[in-house]
Amino acid sequence: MIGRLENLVFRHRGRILAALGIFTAVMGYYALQLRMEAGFAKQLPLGHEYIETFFEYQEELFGANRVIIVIRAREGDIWNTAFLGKLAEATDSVFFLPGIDRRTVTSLWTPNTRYIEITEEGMRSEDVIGGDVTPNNLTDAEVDQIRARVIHGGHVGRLVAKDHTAAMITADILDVDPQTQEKLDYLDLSARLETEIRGRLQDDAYDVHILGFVKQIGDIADGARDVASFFLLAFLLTGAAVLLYSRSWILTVLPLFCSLTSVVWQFAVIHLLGFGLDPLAILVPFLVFAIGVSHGVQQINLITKQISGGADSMTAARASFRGLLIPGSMALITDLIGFGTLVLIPIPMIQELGITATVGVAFKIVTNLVMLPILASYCRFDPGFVQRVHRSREVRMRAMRILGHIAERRNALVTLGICATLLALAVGKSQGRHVGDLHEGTPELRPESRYNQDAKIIVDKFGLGLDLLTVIVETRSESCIDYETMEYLNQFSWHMQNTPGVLSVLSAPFIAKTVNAAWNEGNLKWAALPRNRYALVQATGSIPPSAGLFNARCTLMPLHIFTADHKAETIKRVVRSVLEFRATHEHDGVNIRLGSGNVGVQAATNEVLEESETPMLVYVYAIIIALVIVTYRDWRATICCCLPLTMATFFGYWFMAALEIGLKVATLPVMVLAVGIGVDYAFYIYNRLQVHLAEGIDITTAYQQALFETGNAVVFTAITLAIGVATWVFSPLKFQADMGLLLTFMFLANMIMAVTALPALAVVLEWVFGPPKSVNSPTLGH
Amino acid sequence: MSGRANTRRRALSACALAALLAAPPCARAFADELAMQSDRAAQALLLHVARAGPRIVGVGEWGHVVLSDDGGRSWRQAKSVPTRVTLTGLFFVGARLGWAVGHDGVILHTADGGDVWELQREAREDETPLLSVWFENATRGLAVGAFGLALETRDAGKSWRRVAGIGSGEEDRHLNQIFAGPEGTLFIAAEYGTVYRSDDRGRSWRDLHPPYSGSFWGGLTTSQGAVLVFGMRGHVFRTEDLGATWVAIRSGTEQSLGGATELADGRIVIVGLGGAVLFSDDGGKTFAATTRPDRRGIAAVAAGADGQILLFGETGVQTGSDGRPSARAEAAQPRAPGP
Repeated sequence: MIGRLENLVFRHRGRILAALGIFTAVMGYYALQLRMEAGFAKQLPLGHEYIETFFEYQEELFGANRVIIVIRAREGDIWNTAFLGKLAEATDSVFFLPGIDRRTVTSLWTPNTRYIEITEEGMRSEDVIGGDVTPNNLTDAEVDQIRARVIHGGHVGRLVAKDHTAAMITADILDVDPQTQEKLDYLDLSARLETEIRGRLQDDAYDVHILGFVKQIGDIADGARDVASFFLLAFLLTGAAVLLYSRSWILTVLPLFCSLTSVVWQFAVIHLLGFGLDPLAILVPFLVFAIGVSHGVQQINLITKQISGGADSMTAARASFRGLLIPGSMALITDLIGFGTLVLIPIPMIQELGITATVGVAFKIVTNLVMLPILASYCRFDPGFVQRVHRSREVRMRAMRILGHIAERRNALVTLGICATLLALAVGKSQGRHVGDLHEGTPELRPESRYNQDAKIIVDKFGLGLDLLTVIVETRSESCIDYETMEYLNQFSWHMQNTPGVLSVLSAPFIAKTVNAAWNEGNLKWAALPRNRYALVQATGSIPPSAGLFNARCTLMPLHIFTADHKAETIKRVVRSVLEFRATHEHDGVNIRLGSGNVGVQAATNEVLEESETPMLVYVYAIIIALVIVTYRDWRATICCCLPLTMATFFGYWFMAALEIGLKVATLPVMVLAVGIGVDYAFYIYNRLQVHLAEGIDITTAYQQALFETGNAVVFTAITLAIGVATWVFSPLKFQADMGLLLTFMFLANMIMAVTALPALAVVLEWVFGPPKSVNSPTLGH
Repeated sequence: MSGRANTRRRALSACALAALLAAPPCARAFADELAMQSDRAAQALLLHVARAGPRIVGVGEWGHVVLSDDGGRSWRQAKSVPTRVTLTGLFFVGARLGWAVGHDGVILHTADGGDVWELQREAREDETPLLSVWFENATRGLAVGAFGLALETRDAGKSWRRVAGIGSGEEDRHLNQIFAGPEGTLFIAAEYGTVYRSDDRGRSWRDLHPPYSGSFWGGLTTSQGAVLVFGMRGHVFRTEDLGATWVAIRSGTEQSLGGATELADGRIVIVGLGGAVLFSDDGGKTFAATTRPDRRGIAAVAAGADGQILLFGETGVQTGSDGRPSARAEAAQPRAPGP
């Protein structure tokens, strides 16, 4: 069958190439239209209880997607006309940015910033900066008055830094423009914040700090642009290595060209599917390229072997096509289905990544297994090539011969002993692996990045908590003036306040108590919820709706819980505390639901990642096992291919635990992708082993033969790709650096396992159970 | 004891019985639960302080009672307090017998210096908080609160009855603090510029009118026999003739003042909102005002160990310098960092 396919392909090689050329031109047109794109919602686990709640109340809850801009005086404090003028300018600029919910813009200059003065006659509420005061003709007396009002109004630590050296502007972001229904371009807004706010206002006297999801994703995208240069660097490194390996320009260009072609197709498909290139997913094209190179090197390896054996290009290309179509397709189909399983994780970001990777790998079957041999059949090799190749092969063969000794019984047993010990160690150590983010600030960016530095300054200056869990409390209508409900929430708030890991709680009853004291001359002895209905109406009625503590009808009264950090253990403890209170203190007409805020989202994401990781890997392994069984109809093949992979996976866990790389949206796919790459290696080696065993050669010699044919290419590609991804360690993006480290490790671990544990297992299995009765090797097409 | 309290006690014992029989938990309102044991009790709002012999006892929000046996260096929470309401006032007779009052008309009693408390009174539907309590001896005492509420017991709190007739016709004034004056008199600092004095241990009262229309939040009798009353917006008045004549004292602050104490060396400290701490070296004739850097409200003050004062307020209990001239420089903070 393969023979017939081979004849078909090579008889029509001209026509096939022309068709592929036209296809590439069309796809190239679409690929060029691909743009970077990022969204908040994509990273959320859909269908999770907390996220459902989050979406349900997104409209009603202010502050879930907020931008914070801080203007800081480098010298002195903010109480001078120059600073306040600057702040007014900044407030105006923020007001006119796209995507800003103008109702929510808040700074000292906005009319929603008020202060309350308690006098013998009662309470007086006034603007902190009166409507008649303008930034242009601000007097020193007015500055003094503003300062006094800010202090009395309790705005220090909120809109003004605790040390009076900085002031804040906050605004909510609208994901979709309510008028045009257009999606907000986050990267554009981030760039505008940089140019129109920081660029215009930052100078020798003032520093500007910006915080919020929009800036975070913008800075990640900026960092991701550097990915192109890392891509280029990895590309050049790979090219140099392939040249060194193949000793031929033609054979260097071939795999790189074919791999790039499929990346172009992949970009086009991403665009046609309506996706953008997400910063978090930008690594996928590189990975697909890497897989392509690894398959391409197998092709040139076989072609070289044929050429140096005296064959012409056509014969060599045909032999390569014939020899690699089965193991190559099998490996790629395994990758494809393996990546495809990522779609099962209900996080759109990971699903998108899975689809992108699947499409890319599918194209590889055409570009690497068909296009490459066809192109090779046109190539002419100079006579010197054979000699050059011969010399470099000699060197490699010597190394391979040494490696081949593993397939001797004694060495095989020792190897397995070492592997088993390491596996046991890895299983133990991987228990210490973390879920979610471990480090302060935004984990995608490095601690020393501008964004994380800004975050640190703002947290220090304003005593602000950045890690927020919003618990949704659904109540009967008008519950803010119902004593029993308010008291229930009051107790719930205090219960949460007493949970370790909680810094502070903001809720309607907490504020209502303070307001009740304010209505009673400010006397702290009145800091209690009044049972008197009118007093309660007065207390809650004075809380502005913009505080986000209840909605218009008082059917929603959230608890805003600020946590000390966003480590998985902290999040778990706080979430457990909420659930515990809900279970032990039922209250008629009150429904407590988790959860919004970045911690709520993180809680859901962590839960989904933790829950899906194991099933995910089980699916991938099940698919690999199924494919191996279908192909070889031999249980030994299953063990030989899968056990080394499992070991590599656990070594990866150990590595994550040791380097404090948490399981998160960025790293879960890496582990799945790594299994896909590892299986390629196993298939190539095991396949040749089978071929030679079928020829009746003893297993030790068969393995050495397999090493000569595919094994050395496996070792070579793994090292090449590891060097390529190792350069990511220098990326400005922390998650890329982490992914790079993890991938480098996984490339090498998978390769080492494929050339050591795999043959050792095969040898020991044969020793214990005798040689397999009939070796089924479908590649024996000749 | 009121009938309501009886009903509630019965309801409580029914719950206790259910618990003994391992029946499903009895649904109870939070107000019926014991104060929660909290690591944050000494950092949450505290409103009043009293001495029980060598022990210092503070009360505040959530039914918190905090105890210190080492002059305020370390604090622990009382073992059992049968309420979660905000407690506002506290009085000890000797080292063991004490009474605390608070919102929902709650009156608590302890016989062991503050560790275990029992509920003597509660009147939720009155919607009137009690604000201050004073005992003449181990059996007779008075509790006062909002809207002219005044209660008297003659049996150590086993039963309380309303006292009418404080003030001439205007009974709805908040009675903010009751305290002993000189020569066996009794004073109440009250709303709308009113101070009441009783010369017969609280059986009859007369209005005194310091020249101020705002509310008085508290008062203090000095060891020299002068009386100070203080309240809203930094107003302090002093009398040496039981309120016949008043002298307005320049306080140096516009913050409302609610608590005061006299230190061992005769100096007087008054505390208030916005982190205001006032010191007087001359028995309250003149004051020097300082502002705590956190500007959080302070409701009560007591002398602590090591020359420190203990400040009770929005951030729980904090220690502060006792304001001796050498230490005053550091205690004094500018009202706001100047340009």
